[in-house]
Amino acid sequence: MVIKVKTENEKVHEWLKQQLEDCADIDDRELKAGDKKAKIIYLKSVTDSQIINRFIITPFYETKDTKEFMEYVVSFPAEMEPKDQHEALSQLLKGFVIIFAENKYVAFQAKKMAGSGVTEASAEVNVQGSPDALTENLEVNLNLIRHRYQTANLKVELKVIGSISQSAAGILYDSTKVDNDVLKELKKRLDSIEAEVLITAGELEQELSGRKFHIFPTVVVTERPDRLVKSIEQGKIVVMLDKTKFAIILPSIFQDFFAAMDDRIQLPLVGWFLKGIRYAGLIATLSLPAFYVAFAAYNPEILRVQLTLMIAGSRVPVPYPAVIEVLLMLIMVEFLIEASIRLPKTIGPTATTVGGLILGTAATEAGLVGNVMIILVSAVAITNFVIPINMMNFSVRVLRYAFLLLASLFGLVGIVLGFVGIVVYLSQVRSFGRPYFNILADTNSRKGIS
Amino acid sequence: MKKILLFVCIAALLSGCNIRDVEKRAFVVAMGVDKAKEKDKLEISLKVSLPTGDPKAGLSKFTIITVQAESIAEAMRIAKSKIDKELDFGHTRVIMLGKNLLSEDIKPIIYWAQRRRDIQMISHIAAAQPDAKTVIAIQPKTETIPGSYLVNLFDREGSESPFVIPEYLFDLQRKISEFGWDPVLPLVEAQKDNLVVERAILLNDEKMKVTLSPDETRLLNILKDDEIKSSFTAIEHGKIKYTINEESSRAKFRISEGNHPTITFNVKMSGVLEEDRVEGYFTKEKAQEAARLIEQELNRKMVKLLMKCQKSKVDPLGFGLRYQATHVKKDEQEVWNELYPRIKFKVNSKVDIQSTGIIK
Repeated sequence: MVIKVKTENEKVHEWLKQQLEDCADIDDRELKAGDKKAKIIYLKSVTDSQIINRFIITPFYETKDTKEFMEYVVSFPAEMEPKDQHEALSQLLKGFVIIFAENKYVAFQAKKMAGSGVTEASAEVNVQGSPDALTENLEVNLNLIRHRYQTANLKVELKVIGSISQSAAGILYDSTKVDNDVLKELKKRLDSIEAEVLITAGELEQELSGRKFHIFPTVVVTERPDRLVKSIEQGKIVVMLDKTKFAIILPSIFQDFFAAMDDRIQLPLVGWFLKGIRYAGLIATLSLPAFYVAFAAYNPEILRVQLTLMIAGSRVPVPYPAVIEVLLMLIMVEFLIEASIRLPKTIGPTATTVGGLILGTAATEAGLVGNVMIILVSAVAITNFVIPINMMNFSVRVLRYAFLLLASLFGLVGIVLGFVGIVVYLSQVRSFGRPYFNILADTNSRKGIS
Repeated sequence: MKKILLFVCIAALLSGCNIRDVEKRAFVVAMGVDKAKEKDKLEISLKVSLPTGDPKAGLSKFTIITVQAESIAEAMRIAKSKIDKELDFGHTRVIMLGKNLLSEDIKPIIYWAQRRRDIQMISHIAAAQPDAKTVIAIQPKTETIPGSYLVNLFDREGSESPFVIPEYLFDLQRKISEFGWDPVLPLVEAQKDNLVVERAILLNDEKMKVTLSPDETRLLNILKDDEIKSSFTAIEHGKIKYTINEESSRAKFRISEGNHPTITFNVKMSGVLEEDRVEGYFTKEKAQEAARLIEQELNRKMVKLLMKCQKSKVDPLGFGLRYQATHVKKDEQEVWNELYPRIKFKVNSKVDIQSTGIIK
């Protein structure tokens, strides 16, 4: 009886198979031709069979012996030699083929690129300028950035976050312009992330911001490579997470959330005007419902008599107090917005039309809400979309209700209180140690301090 | 979080009954105060606008609430029981004082209005003839919103009449409490179903002293240095020759003391020719003649007006205040009181006809 002593190779092979026991997509095959012998193991779902055929299986039968085959394989830049079986496993999961031959095992990259191609930006649309958006693939994204920022100073550091998701995060910055304090702080925070699964840039944003409860986003989440490049040029740091279409920019200040990429394309005067419009939109969307309540319930003397009488007239058939009226309509609009976001693109407009037009008209005719109220609610909904960055958009949407509450409790004073509160809050917020609400800051300054 | 919730709950209770929605308020757009027939009683009339549910129906409906009481504050309490809504004075832009009331002390009424938080300081005060109640109840055909007729006139938002001298509540109060400046109130006259404002009433700090004619009202407006458009006619031997449309005017005065204390007015105005009843083109000579005629007329009338004020011991242009401001003496008020009745007036007017219109 011959006692077969398992070689190191066989042990690793066994172990790997054990680890991936119930995975239907594992493929484990032996290549044999004459005295040539090799074993390969890989996950079919994450590897590209063409690459395996072309660079592993075909050469195996064309080379003289296993040694030559191994030499051939090792010559590829895609080849890696794992330190131990654990690294081999993680590489296997990433889309590597582990080849066992000649008493050693090597990993050969045969990743299947299931990523989508470069598509047009959908969350951050602009009129002119590049339509490209980031893709789900980190390498494609890096490619998009590199093409737009061709300097050796653009550094890319890779870090793995998420103990289960193993998401690769690329930290991009211009080494000559970056603020090293922020970079250090970022790395510290990335290291301290304890999440198991991290899939979206938004989650990363929350993990990084270091606060449990915050109203305003402190880093910009964007899908536009041109915005990323502009930020890198300004000395900011970009963190790109693999498998997500969005990247985050930090440190960011309040103003960044109100800048669209169009602003740079337009003439300066037009750019300023657009910016002004956005801030006006911010104030309007925050305070209009609150003003209505404050006006209708507390201080009807602040408006002109025509308007007062008109609002009073429109409210005559309304059975509920102004706060309830506003709240009802606002929530109705929120439903509309939510519904039209989640609906397929083909039904979306229909839902909005049906909901918005018919509901609004019918509600006023039935006397459930005043005419003025409908105008106001639509104005609020529209002005809200003026803010170009999605996350800020949502923050403002929520904050509106705080203003409504304040106005319903304290009237006009409540609104003033709300604005004072926001300014106080914003002033103490820091984005990676940089003052967040630095309105007078030079946005081109890399320090974020004027 | 618990603390925040607690705070919200408590805050919600704090507001209590203060919330009164806009449709549950009755907006008093104009208010009239008259002397009641009973002795020592006031008659208060409130013009309350009635909002309608349909915006197409217009906003011009209103009702009048009349209350008689010893004091205005008391009248307000009584008025509350005459309407189902809360009276809101936030839009009371016009307060009318009946002419019969002006012969008594108007200070209490002004001070009451001043003290109210909700009556806006930019409210207009005017005198009413025959009485405030009648004037308030009239709705001129062009009035679209209750009370807007008078507000438009006084604000000079709509018609810009040289015969209207508006008086704000804050200004009236200031003039009453200030030395050497007396208030002028516009007089609103009810004529059938229309309101006419073309005269002004001069008051000393308490009561009515003299009523000005429309022409005098216009001249006072010019002397007040208000930027007001008006027209002046050059008359020679009782025949109208030219009329100019005055477009801008400046009036400045100087007080000189000495043996013959005088107040010298320098009035400069410029305008456009509007009517020429003399044959021929409007030449430079004719322009000079027209200007000279108007200047003479103005000088004469203005001096007369100023002397009228002097005679009735009122000071609507603030001479006394100017004197006090430019003289540092212990007894400048007494000196002025002694000086004013014997001061002389001199008016130098300068008329500049800038254009002849679009024809020669």
